[in-house]
Amino acid sequence: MKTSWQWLKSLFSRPQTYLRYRAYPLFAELGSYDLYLLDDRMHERKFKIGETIFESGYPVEVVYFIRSGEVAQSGVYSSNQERIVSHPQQLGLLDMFHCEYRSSTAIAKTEVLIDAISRAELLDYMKARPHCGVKILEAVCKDFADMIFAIAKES
Amino acid sequence: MKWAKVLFFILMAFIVVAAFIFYSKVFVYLIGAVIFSYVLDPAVTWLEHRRIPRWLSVLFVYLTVAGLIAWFTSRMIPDIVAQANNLIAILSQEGGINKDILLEVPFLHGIHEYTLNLDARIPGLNISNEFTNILDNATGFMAKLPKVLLDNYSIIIGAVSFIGMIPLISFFLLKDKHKLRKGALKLSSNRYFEMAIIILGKIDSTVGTYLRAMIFEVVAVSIMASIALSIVGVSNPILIGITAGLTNIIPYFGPFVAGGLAVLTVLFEGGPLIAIVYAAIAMWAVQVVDNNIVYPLVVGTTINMHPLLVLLTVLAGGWYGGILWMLISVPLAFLTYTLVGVLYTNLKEYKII
Repeated sequence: MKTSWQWLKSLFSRPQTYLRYRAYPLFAELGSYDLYLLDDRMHERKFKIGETIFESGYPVEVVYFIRSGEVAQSGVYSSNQERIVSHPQQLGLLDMFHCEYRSSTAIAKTEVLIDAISRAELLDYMKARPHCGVKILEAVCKDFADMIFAIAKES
Repeated sequence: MKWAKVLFFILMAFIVVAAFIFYSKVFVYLIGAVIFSYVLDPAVTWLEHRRIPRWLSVLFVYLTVAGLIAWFTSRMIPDIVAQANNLIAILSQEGGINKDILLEVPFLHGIHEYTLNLDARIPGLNISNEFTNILDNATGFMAKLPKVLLDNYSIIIGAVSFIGMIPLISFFLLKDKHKLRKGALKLSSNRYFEMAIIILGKIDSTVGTYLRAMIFEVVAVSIMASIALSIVGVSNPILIGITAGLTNIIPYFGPFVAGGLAVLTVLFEGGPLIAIVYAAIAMWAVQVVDNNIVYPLVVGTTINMHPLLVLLTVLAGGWYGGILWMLISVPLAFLTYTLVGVLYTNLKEYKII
């Protein structure tokens, strides 16, 4: 009886895969329904070793969140140093805030699985759900602060 | 390996062409469903953001729209039919309009008297004959006008009635909007993913905004014109108001059609000259409110098309498919122009062309 009930329940419940977005600092504070709505706007992409994710000089539209694998990012803040980005970090957030074209190039160092969201869709989402927007912007500020401290440490 | 790739693409092209031919008959339904879902999408999304599952949101919105249509049909259709019959009766009194009936209209009678006066004063001018000839030609056109109006309204209503199928297709488009979008973007390679997302986003926002704005404007102008014409005492205000709303889709020229219809109604009812001025002022006031408040608020900008291009597009639409195509040709041309612009800009930015 219990097994039949669980089987019947499983027909109506979807796997809550969207909860994995909580691993990304930007979405860590969002509720499960917020993440469910966010999932509608996320696109899963797979990159092979050596494949270019984005290139400097091209238009900025997508923010990439690394689910697995490693990405080599070069040219951030005009530095020659290569930065290795991995789960749960993101790519392209800074560009989204201050310019229309990519300031760096990102190449997959290993096989990479990525969750991607477009700038327009993220802004729409934040506009439609202001409470989520505030939480995301707080996380963005924290991310930028960490980045500034890291650069200050390097120099 | 290369040959296998070429063969695969040829096979794919063949399947796409075959599918296009097979589904070509339902293509119009699909376009109708896309327009319908674009109009309803903001309401569905609004409800979804209030924790109502998307499929249930679609149902709620459908029920609301069905309720509104039922209310409109029960309250307005009898009035519109009565007004249409009244307008036809005015335009085809006693077995058809002739120049003698027209000359009884006070305004035209005054002009005729004036031309006779001129003829009497200037020998050989004969301008009154020219005037009656013009009236003769006009009566020929006007005698056909009720039939033309009826025929085309039935085409429009016929076009609207094929929508039995549209809400069904639209239901799936609305419910699975995000899945369809994700599926479409999945087809793009990693190299063109970002470009595809930009193009799809811009097309989505441009088409969505424009279609919603256009439908909102049709409703707003119809209501405003009906109220304005009722205030100044023109008969058949709802019918003329709806015509004003529909013809307003055609920029520059559309407003004159409904304005002309309002003036003609007053003229044939033998109303005083001042009533014609009131009707014209009422239609002008509606246009002022529409151009300066409604349209800028809803869309933010007007259709940036040269009047000559609008005129040519409307004429071409009319030749291609009558009044219905005259109405949709300008929005269609504007959307095509915008989409080509979006494609060109992005293909250029991504150094593809």
